[in-house]
Amino acid sequence: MVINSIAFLFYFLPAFLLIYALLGKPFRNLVILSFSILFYLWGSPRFLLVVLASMALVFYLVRRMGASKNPLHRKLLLISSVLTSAGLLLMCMYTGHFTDPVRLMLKSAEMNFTWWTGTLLPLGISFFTFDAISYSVDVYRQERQPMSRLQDYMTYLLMFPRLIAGPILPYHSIANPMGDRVEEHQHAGRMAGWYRFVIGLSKIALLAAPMGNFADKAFSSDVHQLHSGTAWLGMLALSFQLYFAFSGYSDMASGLGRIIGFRFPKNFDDPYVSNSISDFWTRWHVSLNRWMNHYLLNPTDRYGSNKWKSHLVSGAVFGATVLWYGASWNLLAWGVFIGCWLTVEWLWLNRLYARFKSGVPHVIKVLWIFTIVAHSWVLFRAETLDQAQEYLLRLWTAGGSQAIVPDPAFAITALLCAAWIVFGYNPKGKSLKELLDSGHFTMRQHLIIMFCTLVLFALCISKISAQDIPWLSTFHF
Amino acid sequence: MKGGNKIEKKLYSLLLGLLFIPWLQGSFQFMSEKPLHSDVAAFAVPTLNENNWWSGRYQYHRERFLHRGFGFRPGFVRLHNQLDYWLFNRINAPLVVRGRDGYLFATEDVKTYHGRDVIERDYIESRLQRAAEIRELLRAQGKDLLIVFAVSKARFHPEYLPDESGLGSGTGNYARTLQALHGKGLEYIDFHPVFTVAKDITRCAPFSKRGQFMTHCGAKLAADSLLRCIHQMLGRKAPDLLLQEHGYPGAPFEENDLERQLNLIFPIGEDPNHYPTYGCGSAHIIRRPSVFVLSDGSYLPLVHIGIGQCFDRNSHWCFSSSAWGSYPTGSLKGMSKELLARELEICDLVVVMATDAELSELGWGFFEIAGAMLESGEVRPAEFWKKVHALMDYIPTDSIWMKQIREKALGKGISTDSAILQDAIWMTEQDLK
Repeated sequence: MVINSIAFLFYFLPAFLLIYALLGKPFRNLVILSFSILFYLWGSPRFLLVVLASMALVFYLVRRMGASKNPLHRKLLLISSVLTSAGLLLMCMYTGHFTDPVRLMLKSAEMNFTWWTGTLLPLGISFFTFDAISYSVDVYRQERQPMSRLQDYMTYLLMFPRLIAGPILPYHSIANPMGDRVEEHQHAGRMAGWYRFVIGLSKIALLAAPMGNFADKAFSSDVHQLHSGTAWLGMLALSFQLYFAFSGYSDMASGLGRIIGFRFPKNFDDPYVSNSISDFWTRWHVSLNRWMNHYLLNPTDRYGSNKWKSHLVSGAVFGATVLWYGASWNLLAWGVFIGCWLTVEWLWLNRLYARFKSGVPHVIKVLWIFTIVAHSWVLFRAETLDQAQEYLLRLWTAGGSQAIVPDPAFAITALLCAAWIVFGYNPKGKSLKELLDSGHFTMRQHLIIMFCTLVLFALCISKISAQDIPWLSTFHF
Repeated sequence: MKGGNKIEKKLYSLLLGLLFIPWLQGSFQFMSEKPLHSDVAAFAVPTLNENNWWSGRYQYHRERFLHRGFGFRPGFVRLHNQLDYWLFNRINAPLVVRGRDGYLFATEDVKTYHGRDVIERDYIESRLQRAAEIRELLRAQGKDLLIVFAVSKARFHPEYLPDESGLGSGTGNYARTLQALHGKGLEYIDFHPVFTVAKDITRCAPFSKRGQFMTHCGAKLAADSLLRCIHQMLGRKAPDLLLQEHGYPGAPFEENDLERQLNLIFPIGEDPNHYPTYGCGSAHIIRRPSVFVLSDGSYLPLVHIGIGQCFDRNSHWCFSSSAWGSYPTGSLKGMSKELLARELEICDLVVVMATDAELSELGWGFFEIAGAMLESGEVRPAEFWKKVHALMDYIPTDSIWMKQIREKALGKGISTDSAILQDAIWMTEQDLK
């Protein structure tokens, strides 16, 4: 079940919100957990037991670690718990790479016992694994106490609003609200959560889906014959699709979180108005980068006195971030591409910018960075490296016989996407975002925003219901 | 904000209530909804069992079911279509194409007009050859076969077709079939020339902007031509459709079937047309012909204006090779042979009528199935039915026989008329043995 589907919006969600509102505070985490397990059972039933067992084991190990005073014992328990969490993720994500050659070999020998070589990916595993590691590390560093109830720990990891697309929630950021969120859990917060939820849904249904449809057409056509104009439009559509789909899912998750009293961290901080690749990297999937910085970079920053070593460590962290996205060669190439630009920027570009007396205009930088990032998305999206290479070639080779004429809605939707990005960076847009985030509205503001969100919601539902199946971003983590 | 919490609580409660409405409506249908046209029925959900659950099959189908079946979905879909139509001039109906000046066309019609679904000449030849053989078999039984080329809107109004590249209108199935008919000994009538002449002189449009098939006026024109042709073929006078009354406020049948496929909230517009009523004249004619019609939707307007009144019996089987609105699809293959035999036995004339788009399926299996039945003697001669009808007229006058028939009907749980028919058939069969 995806959170932009009718099944979720009109069946699962109202039932959850009603029961959550009706039951008293002591039962609220239990309600979240029950619905999260139902959500998991619905979407990924075969993996639930493995996931729950791994969680229970980590919970037990960390509790022992929290109680232990022996540093060696604590370290061993930390390693065990991290390996338990990460092991499952690594096994699920990378098994295919090692077993693919074996599977091919067995198939070529017409041997049919290849079932064990298939790659498995339980729902949301990338997110809750990182959460589980943060839990172990935070308790090890004695930043937070371990949770006393397994039920709360599972609620934290399996919380359904963010199982599809995050954000990653480090334990230290959520430990308090997990136990007590009386202050947060007010009606103002609920309404602010609803507004954000609808904004996220609109990003997905009204902007990302039409863009994604065009991008899919461009990438599923014969790339060798693709017209260069279509290739550029496809790349633009893909760039908008990725941003609006990911940030839309994050907004929906944050909105739902807010409705039930949690404040999830921002996950996308206007990445398309970045003025450098490093700036983009810090604005894209913020929760992942923060996690990496907090849990991987900090323990190693003792190398910081040596500039080259420090960059080497940063590079390793960057590599780990890239690997988080997936196990394909394309994603690896995407990481190398971004990494190369980061290096170029660090070694030469920043110095080049500094030579201009009045500086390079911000708009130029933003457009330049957007173009580079858009090119990188081709690697991210293509099915194979060959396809990516050919697509990139088509971008810079005039002509091509296969032109896809975008439908009339494409131009308007693309303009809306661009307007949204620019407005978000504009001072007025920023203040509106702050207002929506604060949850402090006047009655007039409430009525206006409520009306707007209901209209947007109706538009989203009309768009979703007109499709055969709900549109889903083709990228899963 | 003073009192803000109260307002927020109310707003939140309102919101929660709103979220529940589609669920409740879907389950209890407390408000009537205008259903969508050409919508796929809600998907069947597999039984909830262990296998279906663990494989995710149940969840997948249940979600699709909920996606199709939530309350007020038709309204939301119409809203989406209306906005697309207003904002982007886009229509969301795969079977409909928008032409110039607001004219709507069926996708299949346009495709056929542009010659993009041509069938092999050999196939047409062999099918028409078979039709000619069947005509001979029918004539041996005192019946006849007529093939009717109905007018497609695309052929009638090519000036309003959307800009599309195609092979041109001369190379399609219509031209090929017409050409192949020569020398086969088949009777046919082509409405195209009649309609082409009428196009320049009539004030009443034979096709509406928003419909696929003929209007009231077009149907009258077609009915007149058809009746005249039937008179000539059967060599007997059949009645004409005569004007009885002017001035219906609206079309007696819907002339906007294509527009309805768009599933919009607001209608595109009205077609100014006349809707008189017709009756069948010439009461002095002793015996009207029985006509068995196999057609696509093009015959429906003729039925609506009352062509059936001019026949003793007008049986109409409607087919379409593609899913189209509420019209049945498929071919004769799945239908009862007994029913077909009965129709063939009691009719004087078989009419096979199709628009250009259906020419590739002309007969919808009739030439194959009926041919085999006629050859094997499964179809009883007209004499047999004359006797049956005579007996059916006699039985109600015989009180003792009628008493027995009523008892039989009661015992078998069938109507008295059916019991009369059964007795009449049985008696005739005994007589002929």
